[in-house]
Amino acid sequence: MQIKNTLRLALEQLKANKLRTFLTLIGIIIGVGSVVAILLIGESGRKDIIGEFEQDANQLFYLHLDTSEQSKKQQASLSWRDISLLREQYQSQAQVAASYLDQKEVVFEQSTEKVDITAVTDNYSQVSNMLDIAYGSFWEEGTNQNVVLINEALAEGYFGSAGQAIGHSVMIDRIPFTIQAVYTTNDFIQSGSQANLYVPLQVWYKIHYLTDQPVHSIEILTLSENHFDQLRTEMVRTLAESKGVAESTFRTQAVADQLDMVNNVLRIFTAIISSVAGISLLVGGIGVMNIMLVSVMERTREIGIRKAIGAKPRHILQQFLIETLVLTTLGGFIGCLFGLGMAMLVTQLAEMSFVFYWPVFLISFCITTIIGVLSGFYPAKKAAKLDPIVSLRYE
Amino acid sequence: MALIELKRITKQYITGEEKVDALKSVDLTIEEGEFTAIMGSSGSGKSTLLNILGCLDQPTSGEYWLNNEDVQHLNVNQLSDIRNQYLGFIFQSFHLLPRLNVWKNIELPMLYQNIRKQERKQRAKALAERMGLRERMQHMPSQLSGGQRQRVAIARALANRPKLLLADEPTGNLDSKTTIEIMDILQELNQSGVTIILVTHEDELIDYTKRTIILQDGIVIKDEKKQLA
Ligand SMILES: Nc1ncnc2c1ncn2[C@@H]1O[C@H](COP(=O)(O)OP(=O)(O)O)[C@@H](O)[C@H]1O
Ligand SMILES: [Mg+2]
Repeated sequence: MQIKNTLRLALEQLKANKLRTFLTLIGIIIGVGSVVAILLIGESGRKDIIGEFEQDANQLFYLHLDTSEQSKKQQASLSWRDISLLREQYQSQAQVAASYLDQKEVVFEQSTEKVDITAVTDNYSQVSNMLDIAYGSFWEEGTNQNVVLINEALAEGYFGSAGQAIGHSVMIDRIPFTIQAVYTTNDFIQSGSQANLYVPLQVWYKIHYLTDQPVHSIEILTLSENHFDQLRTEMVRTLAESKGVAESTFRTQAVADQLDMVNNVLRIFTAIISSVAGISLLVGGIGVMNIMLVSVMERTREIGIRKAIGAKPRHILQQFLIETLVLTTLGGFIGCLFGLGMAMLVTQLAEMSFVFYWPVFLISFCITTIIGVLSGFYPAKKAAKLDPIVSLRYE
Repeated sequence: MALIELKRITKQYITGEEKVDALKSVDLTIEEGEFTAIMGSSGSGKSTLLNILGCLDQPTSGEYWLNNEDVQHLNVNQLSDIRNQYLGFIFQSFHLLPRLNVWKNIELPMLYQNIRKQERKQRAKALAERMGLRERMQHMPSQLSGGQRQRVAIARALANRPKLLLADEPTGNLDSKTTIEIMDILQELNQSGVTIILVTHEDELIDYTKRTIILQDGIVIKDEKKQLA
């Protein structure tokens, strides 16, 4: 018998029992929905949180003093001299940026706010990838102007919009700074204060008479991934030797390490939801098998009639298997829509950008096909084996 | 060679402790073109015999030759093919599929033989017309009278142009007027060459048939061919 006819028959059968069909499918809908939602949310999250880093995440690390108790006793500090040393020595292998952290009262228009200030080297935006310039541009190499980068929230809060903030001045410690650009942060790593300004490091040194040119953190972007680990240890050694301190005085942190952590969190999250989805699918599959067994029993006489007029066991098997597959595929389809909706809602609420990841449909189709075959085979086999005489006589 | 040859056919039903000998050594030969009535009181084994003839059930012992084939040695699929292509069934309670309309019911045997849609449609239409169901193609069985339902069943039985029609009390659920209608149809079919075996306990119906076999307690007690006038 042609598949098409069996298919149409199956659809009619399901239509005749709409409510039952739907109730049977709830487990599968929830199961597939969760799988689709978690995959889409996971993918969106991954893209959103680490997407921008991914390209050079394996080449970036931070270097700073180890502030744990033990190392504190060793009096050491980082300064511009160290930056120069590293730049000189590793010129062909890495780009070196640095930042110095401060906190000041800043006057925006009329209001005053205590704000974190990060004074950074001119190559900072290329190296750390921490900043996304939304409006304006990063300051020019070697600038001696009082320029400042402010974040989107501040710009919108005090100037109405990011665009309007450009060119205005803010007073930092009674000194005017011109807003050069508005940035958005990839601040999943530095989940520090939202109010953060970036200023040129050399300008900051000059204004505040920081003659020993201190630095809090060094950001290093290696030019290739190959010698990353080697450079990471070598640079620490170079600094330690030049200062005559132990290597343990310094700590390095690779962005890749942190990305691993994010990935791990996502993985755990995925595993938890997946087990929920798995249970729903199992329950859904059992429900489908149950309803198919009921259906076989209800239609015993139909099976008898079909056999009497020449249906072979495989025709009956095919009919019930296809019916089960139509049922589970329908559940999978509704589940997909459900999961898609859920993912869109969650990403919206979490203010993430939604990434559509089409393989989820393929995955859920595979899942429902497997469930359909697993839960449909036994009832279908049972139907196929029915004795025609016994089934014809069945009341 | 005869269309049907039964040799010492027995059928024993075992239900728990009880054993029922529904057929006790039945010998029977039926030639092509015959119109045979199998009669007997209720429980005499008529349906059992018909089901064996229709390859729906297997005898406990004995030989069954259908169209020169030894039915005992056929497997499930071969039996299905025989039912599908050589045989047509008509039942007392019609046995139509309630969710399919007249058209689809008539088509059903053709589906299992992978006949093309065009051909199916053509044959179903011709059969429906022959059974006076032209205006009823889209009706569901529940929308039809008993006589109409039985005519649909006959059309379905004829779909694959069977050699042999097996009817188990086809008029058992019908009034006398409809009974005559159905019997007229069967007679006409027989005249066009279809071999028919009709199980009934209504004496009037033997007016239509050419041969009468009477069963009693699983034994053939009378086998009488009519002298053609
Ligand atoms: N499936 C069955 N299981 C047990 N006994 C049966 C079964 N089918 C028929 N019988 C018995 O076999 C005998 C013949 O039955 P059947 O062929 O249906 O008679 P008829 O059709 O002439 O009324 C009866 O005694 C009946 O009770
Ligand atoms: Mg009977």
